[in-house]
Amino acid sequence: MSPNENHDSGAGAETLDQISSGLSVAVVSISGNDAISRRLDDLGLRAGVEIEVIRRAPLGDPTLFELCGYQLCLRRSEAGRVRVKPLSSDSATDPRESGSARS
Amino acid sequence: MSAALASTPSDAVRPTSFGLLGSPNAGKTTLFNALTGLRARVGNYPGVTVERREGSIALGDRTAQLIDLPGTYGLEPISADEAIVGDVLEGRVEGIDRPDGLIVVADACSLPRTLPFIGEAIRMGQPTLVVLTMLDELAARGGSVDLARLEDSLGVPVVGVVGHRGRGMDQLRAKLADPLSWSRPAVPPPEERLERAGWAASIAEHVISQMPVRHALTERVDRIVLHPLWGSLLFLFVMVTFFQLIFSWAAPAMDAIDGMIGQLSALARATLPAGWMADLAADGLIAGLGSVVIFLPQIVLLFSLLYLLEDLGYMARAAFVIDRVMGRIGLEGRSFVALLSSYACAVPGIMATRTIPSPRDRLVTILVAPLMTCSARLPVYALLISAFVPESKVLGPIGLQGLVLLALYLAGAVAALIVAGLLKKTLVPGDGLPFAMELPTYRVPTFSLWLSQVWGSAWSFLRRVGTIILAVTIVLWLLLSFPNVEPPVGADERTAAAHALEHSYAGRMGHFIEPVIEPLGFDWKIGVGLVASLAAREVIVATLAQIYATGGDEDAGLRASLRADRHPETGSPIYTPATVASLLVFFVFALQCMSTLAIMRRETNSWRWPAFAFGYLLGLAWIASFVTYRVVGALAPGDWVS
Repeated sequence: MSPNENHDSGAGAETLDQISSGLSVAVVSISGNDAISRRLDDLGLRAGVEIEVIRRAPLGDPTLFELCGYQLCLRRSEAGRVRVKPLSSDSATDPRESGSARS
Repeated sequence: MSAALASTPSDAVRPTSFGLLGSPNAGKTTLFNALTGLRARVGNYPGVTVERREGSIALGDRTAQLIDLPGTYGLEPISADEAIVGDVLEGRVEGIDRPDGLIVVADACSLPRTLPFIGEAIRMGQPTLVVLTMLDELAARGGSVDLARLEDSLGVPVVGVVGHRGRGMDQLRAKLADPLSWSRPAVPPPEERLERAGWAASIAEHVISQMPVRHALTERVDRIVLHPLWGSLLFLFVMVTFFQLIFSWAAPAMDAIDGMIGQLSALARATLPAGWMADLAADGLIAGLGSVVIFLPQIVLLFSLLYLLEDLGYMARAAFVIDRVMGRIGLEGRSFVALLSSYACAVPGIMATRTIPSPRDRLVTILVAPLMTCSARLPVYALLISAFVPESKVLGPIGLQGLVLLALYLAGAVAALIVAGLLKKTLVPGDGLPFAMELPTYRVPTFSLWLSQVWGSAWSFLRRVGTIILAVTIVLWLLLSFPNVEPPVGADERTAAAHALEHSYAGRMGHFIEPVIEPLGFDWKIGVGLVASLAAREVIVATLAQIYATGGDEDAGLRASLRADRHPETGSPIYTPATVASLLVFFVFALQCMSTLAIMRRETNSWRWPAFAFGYLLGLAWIASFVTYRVVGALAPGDWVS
């Protein structure tokens, strides 16, 4: 898998809502400590998990993601709680990676 | 309702009870149906609006109870509806015994997500069993999970099933016979969330040799369905088909039923002794039940399409597409699906709000569902439009009558959205719950399951609406028929009937409310119709027919009578453009349906909200009618042109 390029460059605090369609990133953490952060964690958005941005809805929101073998829609505000980072090259060679097909 | 769910009277030992847990879309409902055989008892939990379902599992010579708990992604609740799960599991709910065993249903394709949830369930202390579903999909997507390793790692039994095909079901039933024999882990899963995530991740690494790739068919189809242009067009196409179904395709069946009702009614009159018994049977019971049965073709078609789209997986896509618009008014995409269903009838629409996780969003959707133009309004609109709106053409081939009808339909939807927005800003503010929705893979619907869904809902509609309409029709018939007064001397049958009506209890009620409805341009006769229509909208047509003593309801006779009606004193027409417009607008807003009130009571678990809905909609109707009457009265002359 080729290294992912985040067009929104800049080190550190990048959030899921800033990631363009077609890209995959890894979850770092969820900001906040409330019902929303608990629910996001329950949904599989945990540290280290790979998540792919599939597409945005025709009207721009919500966005469709793929993670843990299933597809999830999140609105911009919820996605903004998820801190992410580019996938490391280690995970690129992990054979148990979700081999999501490039569209 | 709760009486039906009391523990079954047992001989010596209370039957074993299991709690069924799992996330939505994991196949929990399919498993519940497979285990209990579609004989679920449905009710409510105290204090919340989420549905409560229980059933019996046949295990050889014994039975066990199965409680289908609401689908959740975790046991730490984020709403009162979710809290009920933990409450049931810990035996805190009155009338429900703490389950003896837990069955956690997990989709094999998304196992890494669900593992912490399984850990939470095991921590509850009861014997726990994991059912892994969708194994066929996992294989199709190239994924691989080692069930034996999973069983070892978790320390609890794991059974793999392919739901509708029944593979694994025997193994599962054998396990359910003796929950005390289920293995338990030596060390419980971690309590703290972060630790549990680590625990889950290490298990996932150990048991999953290959994560599934994206479902190929789903990906290909979604490229169109969720495409900005094609997806939106498809969405519109689905909507249009929806309405076509409701109106055109159901028509032949509805006409046939209408004919049968007429024949049955005539038969009743012919065979029963003349007098009140024949009247009650013909005009009361048969006509009343008939007015429910005639909607059955529409209802069945509506349910068929809804369940088909739901089972296919399209509904979630529709909600995804429209969510932004709904979000603007404070609701979400799934509310749209429920409101759409209300276009045929608010009863299934309100039932469809069960898919909305947020209790407040669900409540607001329920409260505005009656504004969606249901089929029962159509006879009223049709009568008034065909009687009063000229058949002239506007903008080429487009007819004015059709345009007015379309405007009325849209008015309902627009009103619903505006009122929903207002309610969310004032009375029912958001509960801060996040919006998150799974998009399931597309599946070929199981025919037998689809059939049972449609049948179940149609029967539930018939039974619920039928009993109410029956009761109401009888009451109405009584109000319209009594007291018996002597007809004026020398009057013919029709004039006598009109006279009897004016002096009936209903007629007196019409006169009584006349001061209140006069500002809206209505007279006592319309008043009687309005009183009658409070039970069911379409009743006004038959009531007006009776008042004007014409033969049928859609006869040219009634229309002519309406047009010809004059004020006794002034001689000016009663049905001026302003009055007609005002009456139409009244029907756009007012909640005139006992069945809707009943289903609201059922879904909100209290009488407070149906009462509120009735009140606010009546108030809206009055104000809107008043404004319409003044505005149209100022713009249009008192006489009709042409």
